[in-house]
Order: sequence, then structure tokens, then C-alpha cells
Amino acid sequence: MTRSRTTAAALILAVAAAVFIAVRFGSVALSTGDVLDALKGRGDPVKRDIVVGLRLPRALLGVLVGGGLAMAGATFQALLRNPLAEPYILGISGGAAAAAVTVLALGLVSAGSWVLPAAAFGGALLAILLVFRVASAADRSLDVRVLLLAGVVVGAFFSAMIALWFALSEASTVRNAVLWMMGSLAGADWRVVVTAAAYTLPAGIALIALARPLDLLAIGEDTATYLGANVEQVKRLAFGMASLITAAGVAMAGVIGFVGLIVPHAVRLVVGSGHRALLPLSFLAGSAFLVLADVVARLVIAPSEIPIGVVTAFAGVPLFLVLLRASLR
Amino acid sequence: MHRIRLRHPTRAPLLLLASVTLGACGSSGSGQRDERDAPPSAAPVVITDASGRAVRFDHPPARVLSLVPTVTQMLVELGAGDALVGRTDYDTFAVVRGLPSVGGGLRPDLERLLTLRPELVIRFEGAQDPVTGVALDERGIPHIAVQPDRIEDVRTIVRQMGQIMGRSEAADALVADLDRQLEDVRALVARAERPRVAYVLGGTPPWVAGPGTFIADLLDAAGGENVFADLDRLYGPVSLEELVTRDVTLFVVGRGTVVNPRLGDRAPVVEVSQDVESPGTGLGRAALELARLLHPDAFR
Repeated sequence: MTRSRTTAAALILAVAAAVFIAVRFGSVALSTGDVLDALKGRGDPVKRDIVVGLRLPRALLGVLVGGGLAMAGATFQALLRNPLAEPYILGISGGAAAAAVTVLALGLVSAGSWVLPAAAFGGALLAILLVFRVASAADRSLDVRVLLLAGVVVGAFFSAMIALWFALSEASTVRNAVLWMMGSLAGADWRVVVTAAAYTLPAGIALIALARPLDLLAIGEDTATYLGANVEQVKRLAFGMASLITAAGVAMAGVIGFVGLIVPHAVRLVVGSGHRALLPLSFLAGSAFLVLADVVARLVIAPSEIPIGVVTAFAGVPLFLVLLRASLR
Repeated sequence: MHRIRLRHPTRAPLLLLASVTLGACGSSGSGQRDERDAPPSAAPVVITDASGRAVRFDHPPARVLSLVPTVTQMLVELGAGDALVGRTDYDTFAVVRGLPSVGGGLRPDLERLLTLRPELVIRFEGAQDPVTGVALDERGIPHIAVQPDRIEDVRTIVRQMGQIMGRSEAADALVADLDRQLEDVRALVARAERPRVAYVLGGTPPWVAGPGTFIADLLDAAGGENVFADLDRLYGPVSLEELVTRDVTLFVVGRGTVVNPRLGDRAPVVEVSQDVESPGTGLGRAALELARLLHPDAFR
């Protein structure tokens, strides 16, 4: 437990440092004094707007989405008892992307900035519901093997739908859809942050409350049942909450890969697989990681941006391999 | 919908900040502009842009950021280049090269954009950039959306820029210039037989220009027949079969476009300059260039 405490303290500092770096640095050079003034509501209005209106909500969205994805990934890995599981494995990203591409192709996005995230969220929920219904047997028990298969197949179906829209759409639609699917925190403003928080935080707390049953579930369903866990309820709740977090993340920031796969494994290597530590620490590690990845994405070719998924892969994969190698010694 | 208050260029960001982060903080009506900025002749103008929004201008904006390269060029030609405060990575001509860039014209870097303190932003209409318009609205920065699909849209945009910048006469002259160039080309090729042309944008399957595009307008002016006048959208992919079985006299492509080599077996593939794909005041030149290709005899 001391090890997880130290790790927790280090990660909290890391998140705070990441958010500060994200607010401090951007395509416009500001001094630390400018940034502190802006945070206190003083100084030049344009600089204040850059810090408080652009950089801070973007950093906080990174905290919520990165943390949420990592936590959802850890949950899916336990639920599906599959180390390759990640938040998008059950077709959620496919459903969200298919819905997003549909509204883009039909030209519905001009109705307002809320249309795209709302559609993506709806598509994600539809995928979740579909997969859940398929995997629910007649006796209402949830077979996680079927869940995994159903998720992969539903995801493939939505991918085909996206490909069909691409074939039928204008070039600009295809370009927008591809940009959206690569994921970005660029759409962040305060409303987006509040919406993301409204889904991610309660669902995250619910998942942490499920930590002990998830520990048992990770061993095996039969063992969990013998040890007194209400396995079916835990599975449904864990699936629902992790899916909700993922859906909110996808709706606000598109599909950002690797965070949900790599971060839980990395955290597990440090603190072990007990979910009471693993889930909150994955959240913190995912937050710090994504916020820093976004800083890199914003800065390398400023004023343009590279896709954040490129950074999460380029930075995350080597980091993960090093950790993996170290764990073998 | 007159949401634009040019008199208070700094007030909206203040309000946004106040409402979002600090609670009621109020905003004093600071930021009045000097009276001398308004030319005496300039009356308020209301422009309805390509997104259907009506935007009101009490006087020509002194700080303009165009995210649309062809419009940047127009503003310079209208003599309003001094008002430009920034550019995109795609504006590289001498007059604007020294200005700070905000990145691409779609989804520009908002930090740099705000730092330039524009009083007017010209942006692309459409879903390609859902972020910028919203961000500008939130900060009360006036913006005009343009969608230059056809040559007629280019005329409209030139006139609108003229009205906004208080240079309507220059704008009318520019439009008249463009029309005269187009008319001259039309007259030159009026009697010639019209070759059947496919304008290919590249890609696999290849994309072509359909009806309702300025490229179709140009082909028409240059005395050509657009083979894909029946396409159901502005630009779209067509199968290679379709391309090689239709009766085509000439394939026209932009410079550097890679096309399937089979096309060359059917009809000559010729390259044209960037002018032909830039919906701006260079369209007169573009029409002339196309006409020379389609009707070399008319220019002997």
C-alpha cells in the first residue's frame, strides 16, 4: 500500500505539472508572469483569453479524457480478462464514428456545434446497447466471451458503414471525418469540459467502488461467485460505466488510441493489479500522459497541430516497452 | 441579427472570461475606438455571408485576418492590404509574406488568431471547420464566411469585401475587369467547335469536377464542354471505366497531379497552373490559359 501511496502522490504531482505546462506553453509565447496574471483574472484580455479560454479548458479536457480512457481500459481488461482489451474494443468508437460521419455526410453539423458530439455520443450508446443485447443470454447472464466477439463484429459493421459514407461523400466530408476519427482536444471549451466531467467523474467513482468485485472477477467468474460477489451485477455495472466514460470521451475528443491500452498496463507493472489502486492511479497516469501528449501535438509544428494519436503512440509504445522489459528482470 | 459591436473590440472576451471563470465581474465599456478610424463617407453596411448570417459594419475594420487565400489576394488588389494583420501558411506572395501566420485556413491556431486582435475574420463556410466560427462568436469577433463554389460567388465576395472595406468602386472595377477578361476569352472561342473536356483532380478512383463549380464555369468560358456535367455533386469520384468509355477530347489536370496512365491512352492529358483551381480574381487568367489549351488555333 505504501508503494501505491507514493505512486499516487507522484502522479498527482505529475498531473498538476502537466496541466501547468499545458497552460504555460502554446503557439503564442507568454511569460510565466502573464500566465499567472491571467489565472488571477488580471492583465491583458487577449492573454487572459488564451490562458483561461483556450489552454485551461483544453488541459482539463485532457485530464478527463485521458484519465477516463485509462480507467475504462483497466476495467475492460478485468471484465474481459483480456490484456489486449482497450476502451474501444467493444465497438464504441465504431458506433461513435459511424454516427459522426453520418451527420457530417448529411450536412447536419451546420445546425450547431453540439450536433457532432451529440451524434457521436448517441452512436456510442447504440453500439453499447447492441453489444449488450447480443451478449445477454436468455437467463440474463452476461457472457464476456460473447461480449468481446459481439463488440468486435459490431465494430466491423460500423467500419463498413463509414467506408460506405466515404464512397458516397464529398472530399471535404471525408477529410473532416478522418480528422475527427484521428482524435483531438482542439474542440475544448468550458461547456465541453463540464459535459465531459458530468459523465466521466460519477462513472469513474462508481468504477472505483467496484474495485473489490473487479479484483475477484479478474481471477474468474466462478471464483468470484464463490467469494460472494454478485457477478452479473458487477459485470453489467462495470461494462455500463466504462462504456459511458468511453462514449463521453469519444464524443468530446474523437478516437484517441493507446492511452486506454498502455496506461493501465504500465500502472499495473508498478502497483500490481489490485483495482483499488489500479483504477484511480490509471486515471491520474492517463490524465498526465494525455495532457503532455497534447502539449507536444500543439507545439511541434505550431501553429499547426499533429494528431494527438500520433503522439500517444510514438511516446506511449516505447515507454511501455521499457516498462515491460524492466518488469521481466 | 446584429451581434457585431465593432466599437467594443475587447469587450466580448472580457464578458466570456467573466461569465465563465470569475462569476459576475462586470465589464466597463472600455475599448472605444478613435473616431478618426471611420472614414467620413462610410455608412453602415450589412453583409449576408455564405452561412446566411447578417453582419453589420459601422465602419471598415482596421484589422482584418483572412483565412481564405483567394480573399487575401482580393483584399490586396482592392487596396485594403494595409488592414491585413496575419495570413495562413498558404499565403506566400510577397505583400503578405512578412505577416504572422495562424497555420492553415481551416482550424487555424486560435491562440495566434486572438493575439492578432482581428476586427474581422474571413473564413471558409462549411463543416470543414466547425470550431473557428463558434470560437469567434463566443468572443464577439466579427466573421464573414465565404464559399466560392462558382465564378458568380467570386464576384459576390469581391463586392462584399469592397463594401466592408469602403472600397466599393475598386471592387466594381475588379469585377468588371474579371468579366471583361472572361468575355474576351468567350469571344475568341465563340465560333470554334467545343471539345469535350474532363477536369480530373487526381485520386483513386479519380475525382472530377462536376456542374456548379467554378471549374465548370471556366471550361464553359474557355469554349469547352464538361464531360461530367451530369455529376450529382460538385466534385466526386468516377470509375476508371466511366472515364475511359466516355467521349473525351482532353483530360485537364492541375500541375503535378498524378493520374492513372490509362487516361493518356484515350486522350491527351494536359496540365494547367494553380490559377485554374483558385476561385479568385485570377479566374480571368485561368480562362485564358484553358482557352489556349482547348483552342490553340484561335491564338495563332
